[in-house]
Amino acid sequence: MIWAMLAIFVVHVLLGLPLFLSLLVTAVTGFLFVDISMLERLGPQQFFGGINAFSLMAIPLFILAGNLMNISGLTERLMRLARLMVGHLRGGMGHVNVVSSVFFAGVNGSAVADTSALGSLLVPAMRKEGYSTSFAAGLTAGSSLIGPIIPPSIFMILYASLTNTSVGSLFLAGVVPGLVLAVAFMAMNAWYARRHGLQARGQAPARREVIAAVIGALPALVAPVIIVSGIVLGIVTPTESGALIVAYVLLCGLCQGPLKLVDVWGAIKDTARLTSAIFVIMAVSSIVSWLLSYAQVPNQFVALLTPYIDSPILILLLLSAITFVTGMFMEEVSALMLLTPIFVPVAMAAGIDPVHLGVIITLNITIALITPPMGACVFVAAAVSKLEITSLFRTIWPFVLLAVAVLLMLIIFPPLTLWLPTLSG
Amino acid sequence: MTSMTPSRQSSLREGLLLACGRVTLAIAAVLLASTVLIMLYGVVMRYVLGGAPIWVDELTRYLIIASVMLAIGVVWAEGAHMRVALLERRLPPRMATALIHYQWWLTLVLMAGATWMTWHYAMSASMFRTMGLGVSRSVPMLSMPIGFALITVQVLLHGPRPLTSPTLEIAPDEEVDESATHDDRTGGPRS
Repeated sequence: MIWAMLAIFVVHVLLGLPLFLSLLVTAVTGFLFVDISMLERLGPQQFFGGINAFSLMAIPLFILAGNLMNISGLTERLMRLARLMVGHLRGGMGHVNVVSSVFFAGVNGSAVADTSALGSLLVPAMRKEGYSTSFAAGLTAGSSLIGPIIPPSIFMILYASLTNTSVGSLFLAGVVPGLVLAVAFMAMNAWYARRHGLQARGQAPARREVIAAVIGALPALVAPVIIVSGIVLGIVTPTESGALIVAYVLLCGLCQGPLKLVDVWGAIKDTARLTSAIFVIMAVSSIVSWLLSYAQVPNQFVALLTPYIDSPILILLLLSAITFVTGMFMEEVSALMLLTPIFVPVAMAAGIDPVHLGVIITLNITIALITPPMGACVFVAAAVSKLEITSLFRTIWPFVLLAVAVLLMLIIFPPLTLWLPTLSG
Repeated sequence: MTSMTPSRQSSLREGLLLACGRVTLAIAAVLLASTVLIMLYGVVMRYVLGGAPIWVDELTRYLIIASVMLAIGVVWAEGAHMRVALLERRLPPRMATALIHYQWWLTLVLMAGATWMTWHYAMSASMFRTMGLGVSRSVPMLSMPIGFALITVQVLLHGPRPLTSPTLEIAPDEEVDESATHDDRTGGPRS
């Protein structure tokens, strides 16, 4: 049954059917093996139940906050600050790219939005500074991985909803790994700049100019603090914090910039589109997930990995390898929805902290955004850079390997993820 | 009685598809925006009156699910559902046409089937009431058959022709910026 479902899914994805429909065909196939009459009741029940959770309602709100941030000029303010902070260094525009991703991650939890928004502005600027287009596009796609790791994160909300883990703890656990990822990409950029003889441009900006830029970007810089502290201190739920941050960004946009009603309306419509595309995959995935549970796949998986259960690091390495390969060929939300319920029993048996597992799975799933042949960020980076996709597929691998190296570091040193949640109690 | 020419029929279908998409997306966007307001109302009430109304959580969930279901069709028609469209571009024209017909028929059958199934499911829950709003459970669940019915109509109006794919097809294969100063194959300076 499982192999038939897998074959049907892969064939229909390759035939170009939208992913949610491929999953639906897979679910129908699964019910043919189980009992097709169960589909009539369980299909709609799982579909509705898969998206009927209050915690998931935070996802459209954070997407909307990111969209509003783009149209309200806050993104430009963050980029200006990043430019003043690191733009004058050797390989300055590459550093600006990474630092902007860190800032951008604080409000928008989507890597694809990060690649699209920053790539269109920074890839041409990097080319002017002497970078190759492939490196500039690769760095844009690579550094966008920081987006779903630093809070808020759509993937983390999804994981928390599937495993009943605290969203606040997961958000806190993502901060250090996100910064480690940023440092790694900045180091790679510095190495590239030195190797290709890129020169530093201009002088360090005057302190007054930096202070002015910090003040200008302060509303956006404060946003992640509001989100995380609100959740961790128990003032608001993650979903409510999403609504608050939408109101906050809207208010900042109205006070600071020329925010037009028509643009706000456009941002809401874009959010409705993206939310629909994501949620329908989640809804259908939960039908497939039910079938996998019915076929006792999680139990079989635990039995398969029982010999290695004494070594949490080995278990995490195995789970990461499976996620990496799955993520190469599967869309990220559905991969997360399908793999998490299978992985969690194994991880619990091995004594792995669910928060630590959440960050590892999130980073794994995020890396899939830049792995060929289905990495969405690579497609977006190629498009905004006017670069051949096949060319970027060849040159993206150093960025993938660097992200995998950070992943290995997190697996080997769990305090990197657990330190901050433990500190906050 | 006058009959419509094929081009007139096609433009009428296109107009209907566009109008249907615009209206459903607008309603979906209004529902989404209203969830923000309702949630903010809930937060304010919790801190002003010491407790948020019990229906806030439930209404928020149902409105977002309704928004998701209403937008499924327009997102499909815009080709914005995630998919890999490489094969239909690489196949010979005749095979590509056959593939597109297969995709279209399968989508139509699945969505019509989902409409029928979710309608029956929603109706079967009519005797139960929701905890917060106190309305029949069929009411929020009707968003499923309505959404699936809308996408079925949009699939019919669209007809068996290729979907645009803004996500995975956007990278132009032949478009390379010649003004680049570096060689993209080696990563080093262009010689």
